[in-house]
Amino acid sequence: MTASCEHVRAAMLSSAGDASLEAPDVASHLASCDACRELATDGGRLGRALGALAVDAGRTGAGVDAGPTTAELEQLFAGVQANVARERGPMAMLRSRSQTLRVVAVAALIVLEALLVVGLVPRSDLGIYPLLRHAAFVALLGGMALLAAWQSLRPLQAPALPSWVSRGVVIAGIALPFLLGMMPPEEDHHSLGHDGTGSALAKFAFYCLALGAAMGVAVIALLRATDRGGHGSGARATLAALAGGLAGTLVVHLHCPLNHPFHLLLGHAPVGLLLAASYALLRR
Amino acid sequence: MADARSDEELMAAYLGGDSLAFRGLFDRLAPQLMRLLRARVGREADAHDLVQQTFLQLHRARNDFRPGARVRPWVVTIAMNLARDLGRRKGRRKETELADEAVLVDPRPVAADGLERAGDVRRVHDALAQLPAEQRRVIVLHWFEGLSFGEIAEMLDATPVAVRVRAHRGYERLRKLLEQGGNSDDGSRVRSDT
Repeated sequence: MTASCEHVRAAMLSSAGDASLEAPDVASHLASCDACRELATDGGRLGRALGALAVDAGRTGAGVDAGPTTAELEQLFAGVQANVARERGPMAMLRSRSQTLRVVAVAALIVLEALLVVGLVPRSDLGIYPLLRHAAFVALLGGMALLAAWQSLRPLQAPALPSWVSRGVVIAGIALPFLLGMMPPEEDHHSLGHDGTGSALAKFAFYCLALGAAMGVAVIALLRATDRGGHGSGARATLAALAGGLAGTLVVHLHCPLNHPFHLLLGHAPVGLLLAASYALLRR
Repeated sequence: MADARSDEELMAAYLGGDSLAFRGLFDRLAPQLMRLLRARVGREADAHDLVQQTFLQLHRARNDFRPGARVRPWVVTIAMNLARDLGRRKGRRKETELADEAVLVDPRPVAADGLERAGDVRRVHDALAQLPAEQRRVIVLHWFEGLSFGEIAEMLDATPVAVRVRAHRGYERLRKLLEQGGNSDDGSRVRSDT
């Protein structure tokens, strides 16, 4: 049988010294493994030095097993069993599904909210609103909401992404609605209106902000319910709040015909920022 | 009596409804997780909590497990992600690189083995601290935790070849750092017959 790195490690730490490194199976592993060969140089001097460190720390199989006692393990397992026993019901079942399926559930909720708004209180200019522009807004806001939801539900068994990835998604997700709000209207089809500005600015903006936040909170609630525990991290929780906020902005876009940049920047765009900031404050 | 089945066979059995297999996985993996987490988070109570959370996560994620995948890197990755989150929640601004790799070993002298051994230990500890984080991480997982290159590759989302190269470079650099720090210690500089 060919030795593994673990056999070589054991050989280096054995009292047999150099002789144990010359055993045929160990020698054959050393011939094929650069890393172990480095450890075995000078009669395994580096391996033994590392072994001394491990033993000193009371860890690893390098000499001393300082793992938990049997009683400690029993107590830990009782806790695990209690946790697992509580894992029942439809939400627990949804939590145990794949990341894709859970994001699909979030997407379904966003679509449901959008359909409700379009069915019950659609924007009054839906017939004349430029279709491409409309499709672009929906795709960008919806796509970014799903990207944030996807990141927030990333399974814990997957290696952690570099922090700049989640920061990038958060910054892009907050900035996107503001950029869309600053886009000039297409004059031919959809001229700039001044409704909801002036003295009515705050009132209309607050109404849209409240509607978006309410819709967003429902999405956040679903994300929280389907989260397996990753939302303990601030980044994932912020991403969940942002996903809700973007969904809220999308719903407001389908409802509100006001297109003045002041209204869009105060009433539509800040939903994600508002929810992410509120969530961060609540977590403190 | 210890279960002779592999981790993966135990996981498959658990997915098939064998609840005893979950206990088998716990008995097999919990001691290593405790060592890792104690080194990582310091507080015993936190390490206990994280071990329990890790197995809850394993239960929640059980349907994601695919035949052919390995269990140990999965579980260790969950534990490390939970430990990182805990560190952030507790307001540690930035964990030290060494702590991040769970090799926070205490280099204080050990009376029983004398000062010479304590000096060795401190030198190795200091040399490890000088390695680039990615090399140190691989060495900790390979040497101290006994994970295979394949398992480490899965944990770090890298290829086994890349991990092997990192380990080789790390060990090489570590050896050179220790040589620069002085030969000596055990007086056992023997031949170099690799």
